[in-house]
Amino acid sequence: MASRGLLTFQRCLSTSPATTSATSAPAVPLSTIRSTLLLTRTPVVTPELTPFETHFYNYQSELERRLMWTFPQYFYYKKGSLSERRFVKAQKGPVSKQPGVFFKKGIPDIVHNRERREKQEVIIPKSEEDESMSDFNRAVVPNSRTTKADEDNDIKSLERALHRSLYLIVKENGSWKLPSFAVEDSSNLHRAAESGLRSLGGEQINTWTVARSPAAVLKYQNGKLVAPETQGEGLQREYVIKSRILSGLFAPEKATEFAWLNREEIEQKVSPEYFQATEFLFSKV
Amino acid sequence: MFSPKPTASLSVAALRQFTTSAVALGKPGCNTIKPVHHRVKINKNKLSHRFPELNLSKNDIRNPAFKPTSTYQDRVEEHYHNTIASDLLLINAQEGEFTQFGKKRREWDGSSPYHLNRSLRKPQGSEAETLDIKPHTASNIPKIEAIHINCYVESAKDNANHALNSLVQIQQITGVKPKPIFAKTNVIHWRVRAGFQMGARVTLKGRPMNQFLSTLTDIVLPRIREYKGISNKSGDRTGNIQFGLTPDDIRYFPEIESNQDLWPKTYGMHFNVVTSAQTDAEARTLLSAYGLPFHGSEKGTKPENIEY
Repeated sequence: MASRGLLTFQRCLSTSPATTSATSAPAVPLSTIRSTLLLTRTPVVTPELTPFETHFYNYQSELERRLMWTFPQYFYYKKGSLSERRFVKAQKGPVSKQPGVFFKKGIPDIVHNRERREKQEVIIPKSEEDESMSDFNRAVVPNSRTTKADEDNDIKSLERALHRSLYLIVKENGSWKLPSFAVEDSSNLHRAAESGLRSLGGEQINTWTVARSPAAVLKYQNGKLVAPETQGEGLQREYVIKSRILSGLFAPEKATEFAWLNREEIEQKVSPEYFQATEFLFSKV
Repeated sequence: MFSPKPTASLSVAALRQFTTSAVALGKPGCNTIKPVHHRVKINKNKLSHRFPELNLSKNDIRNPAFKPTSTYQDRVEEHYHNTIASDLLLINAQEGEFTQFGKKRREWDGSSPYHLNRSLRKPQGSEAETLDIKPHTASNIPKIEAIHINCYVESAKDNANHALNSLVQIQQITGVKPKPIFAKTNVIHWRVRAGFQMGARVTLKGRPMNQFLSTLTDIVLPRIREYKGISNKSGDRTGNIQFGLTPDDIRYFPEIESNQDLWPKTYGMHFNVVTSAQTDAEARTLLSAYGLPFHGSEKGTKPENIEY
């Protein structure tokens, strides 16, 4: 059993070039292989909801509150205690049914001091709030989902489009593409990609390589993209290594043009052939 | 007691109980426990077991037992689908994978006449059969399926209130109604008798599970002093990970922490995270993505043999 676990574990960590570049390893000269880095900034906040989803969740949560059991006040406030008296005093209490009175919002339906037609409003007494529950009872005000980088449309900032996955693309020889690097002798694909990233964008970056196996292969013939199943002589291969940025900055010393873009923006920047070959790598969220 | 004809007492016992039905049951006409569940008018005609076709399904909004479930955006579930799943496939899947068969029970060689009709030999080098490991595809990406929480309270043998308290404690921190656990047998030197209520257990799935996971990883675990993480040796070899929390750790749950006076005593508990991963290593990778830390060396793997 232990040996099986070890075997699987070693497979997970498999590094040998034979597995990464598959059967083509001995036949293909190293100079024709490049390592491409798919550097991702994962979403920081939740995806944006459609108006329908917003209404659906709102309706369902109101319904849940409406059907909730009555707040068990005896559990949280000891009978006869000062805090119980404060709590009871703070509650509004339902409007009871009276004969000969017209109720504009409908006839009250009260059982055990609970208005059954509506959700129960539990009011935390003010003095309690000041003393001990200030942190607990404080209204939660979320930060803005749009940042300054969004307003300025700063595509070099990592703080833009918080709800989307962003990918690093750079401008090489006049065209936008994922950064790719030559594979040095006796180096692995993922090491080549990581060291290449640091030589291009400085050491101030903290990344995590998702896997050693490439996520995709891009094949070029005479400088033009061809289908990934193409075989034959004179092929230039680019293996795509997936990585995530955890902290830091991509700050190139040279005047390299770069951008952190989401899927739709990448489609506008890169050539149609390049996007068609790499489309499946980019998340729609 | 049993008689083939339905007697008056039997039909009363089968009656659904409401606060107003106390009189019909021959009890005093007032209830001393304050009721908390008067939410909707109940159409009692629809509850009769005599006409099952009239009964409403639990998903029907007219059913008094109806409870809405999708009441908020489930960010943990979305994080799994949008970010974790594709990475897990890339990490686990390898070129040219094949099914690795587990250890199975073996046939006898037939050298003895007593081998006839004998049950199969146990697997080689193992007491029990082990599962096959199948190739990793997009259809078997590991996923957290359930979390089992089990709380056995030793002191409940002397004071049954401890078992009830542990039950309420689990309900407070998970929001799901737990089940009591009972001692199955007499254990003389533990002074436990069969039938004693000894604690509580609950199985979390879906939204409550995701909510619990995010409370655990965002609020509770970061605040435990010198918390090293889940042991890397934990696991049942088939992709389920176990860990525990002490009574002091439980105090960091916000539901307990904001009502310190209510909880003079808290109870530690065991967690079993059930995943669809095929090995423990894959399960650990999955749980790390949710922010659960791990520490120590793994079973059967020496740290110096791992190449990074």
